[in-house]
Amino acid sequence: MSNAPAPLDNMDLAMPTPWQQSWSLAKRHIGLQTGALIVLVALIWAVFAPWIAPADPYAQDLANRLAPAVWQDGGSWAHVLGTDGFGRDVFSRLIWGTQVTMIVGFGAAVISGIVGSTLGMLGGYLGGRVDAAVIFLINVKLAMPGVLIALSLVSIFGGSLLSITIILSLLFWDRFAVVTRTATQQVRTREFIAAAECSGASRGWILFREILPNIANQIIVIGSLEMGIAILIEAALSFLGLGIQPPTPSWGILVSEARDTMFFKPHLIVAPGLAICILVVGINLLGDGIRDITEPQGRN
Amino acid sequence: MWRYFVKRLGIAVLVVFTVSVISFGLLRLSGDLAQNLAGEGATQAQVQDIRVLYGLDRPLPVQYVDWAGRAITGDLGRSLFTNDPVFHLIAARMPVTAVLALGSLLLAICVALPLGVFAAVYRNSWIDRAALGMAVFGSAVPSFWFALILIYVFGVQLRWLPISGSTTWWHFVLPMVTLSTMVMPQIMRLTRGGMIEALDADYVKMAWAKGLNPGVVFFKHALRNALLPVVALAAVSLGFLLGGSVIVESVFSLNGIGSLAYESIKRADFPVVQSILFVLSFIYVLLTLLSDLINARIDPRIRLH
Repeated sequence: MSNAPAPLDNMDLAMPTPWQQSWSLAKRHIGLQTGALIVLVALIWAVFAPWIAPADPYAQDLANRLAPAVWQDGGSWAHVLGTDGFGRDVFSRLIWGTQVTMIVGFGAAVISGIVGSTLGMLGGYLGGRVDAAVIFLINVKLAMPGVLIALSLVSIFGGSLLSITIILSLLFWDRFAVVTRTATQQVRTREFIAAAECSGASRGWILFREILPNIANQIIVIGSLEMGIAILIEAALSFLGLGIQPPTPSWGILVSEARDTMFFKPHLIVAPGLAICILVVGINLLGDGIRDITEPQGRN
Repeated sequence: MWRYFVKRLGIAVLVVFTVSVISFGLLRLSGDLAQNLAGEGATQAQVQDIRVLYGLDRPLPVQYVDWAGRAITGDLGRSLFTNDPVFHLIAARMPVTAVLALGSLLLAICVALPLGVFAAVYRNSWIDRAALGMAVFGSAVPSFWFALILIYVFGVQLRWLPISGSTTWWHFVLPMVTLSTMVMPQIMRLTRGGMIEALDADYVKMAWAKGLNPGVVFFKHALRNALLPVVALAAVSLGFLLGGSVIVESVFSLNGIGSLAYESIKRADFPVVQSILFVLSFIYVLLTLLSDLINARIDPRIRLH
């Protein structure tokens, strides 16, 4: 910032568009930037795993089991985090694990987001019996012990990526429904909804073209929260043996596989757990940041 | 008050009924139970005998009514594997989980409540940042991994605490610490948010204007109002902890409801799984009902609504 008065040009006089405002807020938002960076790295790892990973995550090398990590005695750059009990390269398995984590987390958040937001918007907009039914469904969902239901469903339907994603999305739709329902009730009383109703717009149009854009930023925040929780639960299910099935490298499986050797190879446990932790923090920071920069009040 | 109570009770009964139907139906999705029970080498006639013996040949609604009718009297059927009455199995495992969940909740409240209050009172200070940082970390750390790290540090390296079993109170320390991190961030955030809102409210400004001392303003005027949602959250959290203890129980080898559920799920012991799901939901509904009533007693606005 210089002390000299800046020359006025048209940009300073014109009202900045919402995008410009969000962008200028984003440039000062450290939490958002940190979160975005973490999620970006995870995305790159997930998408480009075959090219980034130094070794095949499934290739066993029984002559070279539990090789030390690079900072330990006898470690080498060939196996940065060493090898596991089957001689597989742990760093490569960690990178490939990002794929499983991101697919399950993102998939579960999107599916539960669609289901929950639809229910919430219908209840909030239509009110009356529909609303009562939605509230009742939410109450039933809340009363069920989620993790146990997920464990039983996985034991019935198996631990494929698709079934885990769908089962987890059954667990998380309620918060979307609660938040979108309240938000819809608030938006519904605004003039532009009345205008749309008067001009004969269909219910579908009003719900998806008028209401949805106004509550989208709240849905994104819940989405980031639920994606983080989905990642944690997927890891827990896989850790308990009723999630993604070995030898697929899920971060939860990496922890459970390292459990037997944790007393003399603690880094094998620390690495995947820390990866989960950092990714979830990153996703939450990103979600909170997006809320901060897109908040309608924040624009005034 | 009575109208509110009756309405609330009616909904609770309907929720319990729906949950029982779902948990009953869920376990029937798992394929042909008679086939599973008979084992792989069984002949068609043997499978049919088992089907008749367990009443699995009847239509599903009849089976449900039969099960529900007996469940109301406390008869939850028998385990398919040990043949013990399910009610006894659950009753035998409940104390460990109850102690674990209650202790974790208490621990979480003892840490989160003061922290939330201080964070709100000294907003944007280092204590506020530390509290928020802890909440961010607490809601991102996988509990099974945190449990293993605690075992490694306090059980193996420092040798301060036992790491598995439930013979003494010391055995519960690490499991409780692990489990409490699952609810601590929420309680902290809710207390902080509620306190901030209350401190900005007119009645608190009024209290300041009257020249009351800060202790009275913070604890008598602000905290009391901030606590209302925390009571509801505490009830919900307790229900969540009872069902969510499966991970912690498995890591610390505690014989509670969670590990019973886990074992039963793994061997497809459906009467036990179904009953645990039902009992936990029932407890949850009871707890939320109780917290609603408590809040209605504290806050007249709710019962007039």
